[in-house]
Amino acid sequence: MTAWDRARDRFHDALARPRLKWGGILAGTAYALFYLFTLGHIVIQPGSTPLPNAGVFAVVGLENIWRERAPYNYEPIAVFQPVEGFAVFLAVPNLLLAASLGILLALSLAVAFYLFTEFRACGITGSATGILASAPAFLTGFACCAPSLAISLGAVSAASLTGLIPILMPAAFLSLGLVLAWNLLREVPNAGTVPLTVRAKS
Amino acid sequence: MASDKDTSSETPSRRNFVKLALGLGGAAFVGVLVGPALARLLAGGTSGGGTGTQPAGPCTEFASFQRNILSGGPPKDGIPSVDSPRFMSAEAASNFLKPTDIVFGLDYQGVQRAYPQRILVWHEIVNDRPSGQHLAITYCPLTGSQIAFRPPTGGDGETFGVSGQLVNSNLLMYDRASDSNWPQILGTAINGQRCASVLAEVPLVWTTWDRWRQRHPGTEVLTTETGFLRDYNRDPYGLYNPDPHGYYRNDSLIFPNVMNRSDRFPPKKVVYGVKVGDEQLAIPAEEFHAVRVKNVALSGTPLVALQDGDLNAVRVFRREVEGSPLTFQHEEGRILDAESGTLWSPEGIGLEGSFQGTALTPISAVNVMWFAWYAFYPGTQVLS
Repeated sequence: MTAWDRARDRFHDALARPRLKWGGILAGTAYALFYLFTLGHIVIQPGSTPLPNAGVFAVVGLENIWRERAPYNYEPIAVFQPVEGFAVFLAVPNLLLAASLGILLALSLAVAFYLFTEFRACGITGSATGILASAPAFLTGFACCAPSLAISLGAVSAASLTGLIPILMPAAFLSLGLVLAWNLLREVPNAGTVPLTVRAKS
Repeated sequence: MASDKDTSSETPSRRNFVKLALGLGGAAFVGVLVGPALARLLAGGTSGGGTGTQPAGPCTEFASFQRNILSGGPPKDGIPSVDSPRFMSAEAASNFLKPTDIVFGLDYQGVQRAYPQRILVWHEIVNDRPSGQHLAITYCPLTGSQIAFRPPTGGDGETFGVSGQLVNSNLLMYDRASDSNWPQILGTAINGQRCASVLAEVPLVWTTWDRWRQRHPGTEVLTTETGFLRDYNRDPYGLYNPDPHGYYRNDSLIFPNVMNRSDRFPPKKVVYGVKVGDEQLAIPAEEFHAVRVKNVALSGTPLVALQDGDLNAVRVFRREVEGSPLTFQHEEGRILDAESGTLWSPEGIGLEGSFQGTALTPISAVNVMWFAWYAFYPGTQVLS
C-alpha cells in the first residue's frame, strides 16, 4: 500500500465517522464565521444599524469586487441587515477565503481526531503518545486562529504587524495544509490503515 | 463511537463531496490567495504601493521626509476617498448622528457642511465641491488632524487619494494628476512633479454635532452613501464619544517611528496648530479655554486666537483691518478691539462699532495631536 493509498483510506475513514465529519463541519463553519467577524464583515451591535439608509439588502460598488482594502481583505459589495443590531458585509474574495479556510480546518480536525482515536483504540495510551496525537489538532487550532486574528488587526492598520500581514494568510493555508498532509501521509505504528471496527470484523 | 464503514463501501456522493470541497478550496486558493501574492511580488514586494520611493531629484530639501515614509498597511486607495459625496439635511442627519458625535464643520463661501468623523475615519479624504469649487476635506485618525485644502494652483478639478503610506503617523495623500505625495499636516508635496508646492488651507472646525447644528441649522451633512460599504457605527481606532478611548487616549503610537519627539506634553494632547510662513504655533486646547483671546504674531503677521465657546473650538484670524493691526481683548464675555472698541464675534466678524460688518481673514487652525505637530515642526512656538 502506497502512502497515497493510505492517505485516501484515512481521509475516507475519517469522513465516514459522523461525529468526526459533523464535528469538523461545525468547527470549520464556526471558524469561517469567526474569521469574518474579526474582519468586521459580521457585525453584532445591539441597538444600531451600520447603514441605516441601505435597507435590508443593498448592493453597492460591484466594480470594487476584487479591490483590496488591506492584504487579503477586500471591499464588500453587498450588505445584509435583516434586523437591527446585526449585519453581514459580503466581500466575495473574503467569503472564498473563509470557506477555504473552514473546509481545510474541518478536514484537518476530522483526520487529526481520527488518528487520535486510532491511537487509543490500539492500546497505546501513554501520556506522551496522547500529547503527540493531540499535537496536530493543537497546531491546527493555532494555525487557523493566530494568523486570522493578526489579519483582522491588519484590517484596521494596526501595524506593528504591517510587514507580517501579507504572509499571514499564506501561512495559515500552508500550516493547515501541512498538518493535514502530515496526518494523512505519516505512518502510525500499530494503528494500521483499516478502521478498528473493520479489523475487528475480519 | 460512531459506526464505521468499510472503505470499499464509500458512495459516489461522498467522493463528489470530497472533490467539490477540494475543488472549491483549490480554486479559492489560486484565485484569491496566490493572485494578490503574485501581484505584490511583481509590484516589488510592498503592500503600500505608493510613490514614496521616487527619487528625491531636485527636491532634496524634503529628503528627510522621503526617508521617513512607511507603509500603513493598506495599499494605495485601499482606504478609498469619497469622490462623489452626497449630503442630507440637518434634520435627517440627526437620525444618524448623536448630539456629541464629532463633526468637522466647513463654513466656506456661504456653504455650511458637516463631515462626521464616523464617516471620515473610514475614508480620510472627501473630494468635495462646495460652491462649485474643489476642496479636499481630509482627516487623519492616527494624528487626530482635520484640514481642508484647495487644490494646487492651476489644478482646479483635481482630486486627492490615500496613498496607504504615512509620515510621522500622518496621512500621506497623493494627487491624482501628478501622483506627488503630500503629508497632510505639512500640506506640502515632498516628492514628484509638484515637490515643494504648498496647498492652501481652508478653516475646518472640529466640534460636535449639536454645537454645529445649533450654530448652522441649515447645514448640510455628508451621508453614508459614499459608494462603499462600511460599519459607520464603529471606529476601528477607538472612540471619541463620550470621551476619548482606545488609541485616541493612550500614550502609545501604532507607528512609533517619528522624526522628532518632545516630552513637553503627553503625545496625544490636543493642540491647535497654526503656521504662517516659516513659523508655527501650537495652542494647547484645554488651557486656551481660560485664555479666550490672545494676540500673537507669526512670521511678522499679526494674528489673534479666539475661543469660540459655542463650538468649543479655537479660531485664528489675521488681526488687521485695512492694513492696520488691531489688538483684541476679552471683556465680560465680549471680544473687543482696543483701537476702535468694535465688538467682534468669535467668527471674526464685526458686530457693533466702527468695523461692523467687517470680516477678519481666517487662518487655518488644525486640531492635532501634539506628537504629530512636533514631529513635523520641532521649532514650533507654544502658546503659554
